[in-house]
Amino acid sequence: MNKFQNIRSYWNKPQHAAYLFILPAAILLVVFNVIPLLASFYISTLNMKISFDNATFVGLANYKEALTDARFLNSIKVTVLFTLIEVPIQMVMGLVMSALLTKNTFTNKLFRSIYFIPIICSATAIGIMFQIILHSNVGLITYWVRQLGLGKVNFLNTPGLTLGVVIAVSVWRTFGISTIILISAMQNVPSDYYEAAEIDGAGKIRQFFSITLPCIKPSFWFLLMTRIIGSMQVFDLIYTLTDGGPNFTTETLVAYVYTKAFDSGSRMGYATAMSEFLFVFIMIITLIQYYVMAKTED
Amino acid sequence: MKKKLALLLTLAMTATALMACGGSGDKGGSSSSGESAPAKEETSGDTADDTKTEDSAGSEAASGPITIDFWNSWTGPDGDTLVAKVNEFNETNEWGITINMDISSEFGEKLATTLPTGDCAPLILMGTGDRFRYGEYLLPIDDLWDNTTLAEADFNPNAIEVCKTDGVLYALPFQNSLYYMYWNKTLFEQAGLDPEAPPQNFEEWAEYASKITNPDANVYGSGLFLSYGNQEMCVMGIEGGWAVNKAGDGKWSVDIEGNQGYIDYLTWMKELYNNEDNPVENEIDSMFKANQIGIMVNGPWLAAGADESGVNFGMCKIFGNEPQGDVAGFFVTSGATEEERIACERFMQWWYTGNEGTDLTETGAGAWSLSIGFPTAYLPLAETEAYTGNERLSALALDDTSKDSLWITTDPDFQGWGEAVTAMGNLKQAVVYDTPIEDALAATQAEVEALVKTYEGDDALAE
Repeated sequence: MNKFQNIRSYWNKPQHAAYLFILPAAILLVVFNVIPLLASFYISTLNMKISFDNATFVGLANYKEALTDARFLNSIKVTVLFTLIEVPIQMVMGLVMSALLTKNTFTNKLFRSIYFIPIICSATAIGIMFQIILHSNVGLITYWVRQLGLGKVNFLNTPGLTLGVVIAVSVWRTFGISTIILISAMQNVPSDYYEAAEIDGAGKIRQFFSITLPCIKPSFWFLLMTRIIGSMQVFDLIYTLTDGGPNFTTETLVAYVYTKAFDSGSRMGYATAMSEFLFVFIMIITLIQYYVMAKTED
Repeated sequence: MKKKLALLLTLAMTATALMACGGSGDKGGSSSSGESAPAKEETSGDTADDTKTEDSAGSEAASGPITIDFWNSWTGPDGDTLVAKVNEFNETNEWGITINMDISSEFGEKLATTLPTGDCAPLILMGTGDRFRYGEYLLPIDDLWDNTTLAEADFNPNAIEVCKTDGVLYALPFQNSLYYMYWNKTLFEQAGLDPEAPPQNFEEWAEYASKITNPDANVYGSGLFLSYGNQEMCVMGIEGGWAVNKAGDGKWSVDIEGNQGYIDYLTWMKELYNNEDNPVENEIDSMFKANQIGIMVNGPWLAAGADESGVNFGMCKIFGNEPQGDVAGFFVTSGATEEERIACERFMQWWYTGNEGTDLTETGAGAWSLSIGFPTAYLPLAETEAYTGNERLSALALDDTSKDSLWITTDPDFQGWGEAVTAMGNLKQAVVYDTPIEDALAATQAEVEALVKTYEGDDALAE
């Protein structure tokens, strides 16, 4: 047996050949995920603008600065508040709508399509559209509210109210995807479970809580996890709708990171340090969710 | 056989993926077409002014068809004029230059990501305040005066000065982005005010605003933006001056906290909001164009849209003071080749002088002033009959041409200008949302002092 045959025989074994097959994916993972992750940590220890030219090593100074930066701490508060309100509303709405639209009738299909439309619209277009229709003086919704005798409401420039408006727009924009995912999960629940429950005298509500919900748990957890991550990273809607205003009451963490990275200061090192905090937050939340999910499934 | 094929495909896929990760090395900014002429070795020389001709623009650089990218953010109605003039240049210029223009609202982000990689367009238009931010990615264009028929003496010295860093020219003025007072004559008439007499001081502004405001018609007498640093400073600076000033010996002073001019302005401004004579809005332009704002301040860029909307309005200097603002300029980026740089300079020349025999009023600069309403920095144009006879332009003309007469918010040499402008906008917003004026000023003072240390050095702050 010559050397070539030895190599061939080695790689022909399934337990070795498997590595070859995962190699492309592994390389892509390293190039596009692992290296950027490590690079971003390195950048967060530098005082640098948009390029490495004139970058200086500052150790953990950027992290220390972030922890005393009132605007950064405020952006965390806004992000957490946004996530805590937006995600439950969206999940409940998605759940209710999916329960109502599970059957494949023409009307249900029509409504599913309608609810899905905002998902395929650009966030920029949605932001600008709501900016116009919620304008304090010339907005259509503002006009209707006034006609209803509720007075002049400044939806986009009232601290305390504006975050609620942004959350409402975000829910409107994304609950369609939750609905569609949950519908497909509900449609996979075996129908004989329901037949058996009916024979046992269970009503529709009891069936929903005792059969539907437990059966769609994997999809529900997946959706919850992705929605929480998505909400913590919210940026585009904020950027186009309020730009973090009024008075930073809607400035989320990613919006602030963007401002520091690309606005006049271009403090890329500092912005990256702040985004590392977000990375850690999301990782912790995801791990907790995994833990809870595993526990629940056990 | 199947295994071999699978292995082969796997390797091919990996190779393709890795190849896709690497750049081609080509610059995305521009391309010379065909067998373009070799780059010029020396562009500046001892060319005397009297030897300049129309053909002198980069004459030593061999000519040939060339396409250059040109990026800017002129997305408003004035962008249409820019497009028309660039198209005219492409059709009529004698050098075979084609400008491929991209007007984008994401211009800032594009610059930030493409300048360091050398992929930016060779020619860009931006505020000259940004010359500090991108200094290392911009080419000096001092040789413009030798390579083209343009002469430094033909430009407003204040506009030229803010295009320089340490005496080196990095931009050619494109427009003076100065701030003026706008007033709606129709609303003045409806309120029983003289439509030809805008307010001349803060008291009159407040008094007129109160008379014009009509909540039932969604009309407000005053139109200050909620958060717009320069727009704020063009009024606040009248009494309070710049926020950052030179203090001698390379030191800088931050004059925000305790500044009586700022305190008076913020008190006056807050009163307008409290009285509901000023909307809590940032979208003031659209309200002015909808006849819902009586008095406001903004740059000349609002005029074209207001004209289009049929608003009967006037423009004047704010309380008769010399206007403040910044300057936008043509810049050549460091990724440009010598050929591209010459092509950029030729376009700049064309913008101000047109083709041979073109009347100055028909040039790009002429259209920018006479059609849109921007006061020009080009003195030969400012002296034409059409310009001096233009009622609006003559009302906005600069009287003072010293360097310091034209800039806003901070000293023009302060490198943290852009962030200071943002800080001043945030100061106003904080006061509108009930932060005590003294507290807001103290917070902004601390913020801007930190900027001085960041941009001018740790020991640059005057005691």
